[in-house]
Amino acid sequence: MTDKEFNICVDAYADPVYRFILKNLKQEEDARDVVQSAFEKMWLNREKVINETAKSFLFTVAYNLMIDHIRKNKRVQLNESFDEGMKIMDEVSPGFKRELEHALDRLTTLQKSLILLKDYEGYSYDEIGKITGLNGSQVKVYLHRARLQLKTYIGKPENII
Amino acid sequence: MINITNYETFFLLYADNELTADERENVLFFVNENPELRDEFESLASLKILPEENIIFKNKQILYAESEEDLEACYSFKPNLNIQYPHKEELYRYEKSIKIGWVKFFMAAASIILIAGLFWMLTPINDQSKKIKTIANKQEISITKGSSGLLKKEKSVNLSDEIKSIADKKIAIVHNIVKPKNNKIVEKKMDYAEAVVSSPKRPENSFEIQNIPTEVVDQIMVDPIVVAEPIFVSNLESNDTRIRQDNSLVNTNISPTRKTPFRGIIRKISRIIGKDRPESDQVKFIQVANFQLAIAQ
Repeated sequence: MTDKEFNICVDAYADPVYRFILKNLKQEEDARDVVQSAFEKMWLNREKVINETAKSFLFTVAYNLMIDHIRKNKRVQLNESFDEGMKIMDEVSPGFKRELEHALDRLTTLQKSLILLKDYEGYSYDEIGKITGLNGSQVKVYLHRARLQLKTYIGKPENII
Repeated sequence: MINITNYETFFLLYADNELTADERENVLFFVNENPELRDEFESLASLKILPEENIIFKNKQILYAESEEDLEACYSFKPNLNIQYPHKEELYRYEKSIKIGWVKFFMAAASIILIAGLFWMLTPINDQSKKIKTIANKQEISITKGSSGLLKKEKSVNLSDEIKSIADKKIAIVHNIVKPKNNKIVEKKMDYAEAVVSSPKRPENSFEIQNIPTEVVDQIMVDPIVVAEPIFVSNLESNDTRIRQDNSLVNTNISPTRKTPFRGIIRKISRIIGKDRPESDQVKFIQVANFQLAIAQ
């Protein structure tokens, strides 16, 4: 991969990766760090990475970095930055979408990642499995469970804002 | 095929967009056939999280990789060849080679020869003679002809045609012959042969050697051989078993010496020094270099 091809990847995949990470971490700075680290890794491995696999490589690296980041920060504090992140969501998520975002935050990191990779990027079960380290069947089962959890959460009257 | 028992899975697969076009039509047909499930279908299908396009990564410039050409243009340096290290001579290193001059080499060789000669000459004679006497009392050496001869096998002495002819004549008596290449020593041998003649052990059909050529003795006695008693090689047939082959000779303490380049030099030096040694007519002995080996009477 040449530097030009790398920069094309930046234009094409920086935003999707950033959205995916931000949705999980809820903190812009952390999401930016993860995205930067992911692209840095791709640059270091540019001789191995080809254009066809660049997107998958970026999502895989970013997902792993995000998991590491979450493990390091187990004691997640719902501080102001979290609220700011939620405010961003609130601005664009009125009504049902807002409820859905709340339901999404109730899911585990893995379930959230599976749903986001599926809904945001349209990856297949197998592709999601490669990114998250699961197989296609596991992805299918976990994903369906996650959606049913969303449905259950939204279906409860007490959760309707 | 979708039915009332598995419709939920098909609804989820529909939401995940994992169905083919025909399967999707079947799901929609099933929902139309079962309107009580329409709400559930729509709720699952609406659970999709759509990407928020307004969320973007700002300052993408920090992610861009600068082209190598630009980097080289901005940060390239060229060496100034005018700057040179002033004292390269101090940095040179050479491997040390050991050179020994010919003069030193010959001096060392002469020293070694001199020391070896002195050591050889200054060795006590009495101890050697006693040792040899003790061994001589226990050892006998038979000299025979043909390929089975002990001398040929064990002592590695090549018998010449002359030796063979002597053996064929069955007259070989060799006793206490120690030193070849010296007329004096041959005389000693002959003296002892005379003594053998008077030995009571001599067989009747044996012969004594009266005149063994010096060259023959030289060939036989390349190495000193000590024999206590006269050896009789008498009336030997081609397969005579009377020839004693004393294998213990191999184990004797007196090992045959080999010719060395220094042997001749040491021998000549010893002869010069040995001239001053008084000889006794009464005591018979054999001289090797400066060694005098007393012969038992």
